[in-house]
Amino acid sequence: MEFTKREENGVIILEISGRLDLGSGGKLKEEIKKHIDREQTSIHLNLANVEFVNSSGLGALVSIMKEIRLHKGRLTLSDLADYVREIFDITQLSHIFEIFSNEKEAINSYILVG
Amino acid sequence: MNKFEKKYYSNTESEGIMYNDVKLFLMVNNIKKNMLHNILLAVSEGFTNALVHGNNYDKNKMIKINIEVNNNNVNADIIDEGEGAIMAISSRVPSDYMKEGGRGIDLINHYADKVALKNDDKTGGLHLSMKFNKSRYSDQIWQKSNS
Repeated sequence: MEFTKREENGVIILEISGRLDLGSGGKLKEEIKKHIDREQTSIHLNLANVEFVNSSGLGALVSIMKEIRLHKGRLTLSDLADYVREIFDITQLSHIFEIFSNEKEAINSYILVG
Repeated sequence: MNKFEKKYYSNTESEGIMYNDVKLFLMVNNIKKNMLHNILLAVSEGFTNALVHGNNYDKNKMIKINIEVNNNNVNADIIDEGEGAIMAISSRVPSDYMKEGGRGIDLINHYADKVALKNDDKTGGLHLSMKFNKSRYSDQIWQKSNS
């Protein structure tokens, strides 16, 4: 897994590519933790280039979401490939994550929420 | 019939090596894209269960992957050398949305057409067998797989 990082309107945006699994999930958690420690708790993950997610990767995302919510922040996801979206649906995680069809919509939602 | 057989060390790095090995084997055997992804996911879940719960990251224990491709099916077997995996699976509780684990067996059951668990006579660990029917995958278009 690799990621690029940037900030837009106070939201930290990570574009993730590759596999999100047991090993990479841990790395992602560590990266997000650094931002939470700096009180940057508006986090968006663009998953457009994620080629594979398994339950360990999902577990990492759940852990990240819980940590962000604990710090009164917000986690959004966007650009899920069909097969990734299906895994969220099967596990019913699509009900608890804020998932947007594209990054622009997700970032706009932060502006609307204020 | 084409066969893939390989043993992996019980560490996190093996996860990616196994993924690439199995993906290449399935691609060489002309497994269609959506079927390939479903098999990779189910095998990955079985591998992670073997690594974490079965062998408990014990560097002296191996995880064996066998895959067979024939005209009608793809069969995948994952065998560990530990004692924890079958306990982890049999003692799990229904998924709590906010729990970080417990979803792997749900995904295996969703994507594999047939799933069997038993204690392996040789290793004493868990032997997970999965069967995937090629007939379910009529084309390259992604479709809901539990039809």
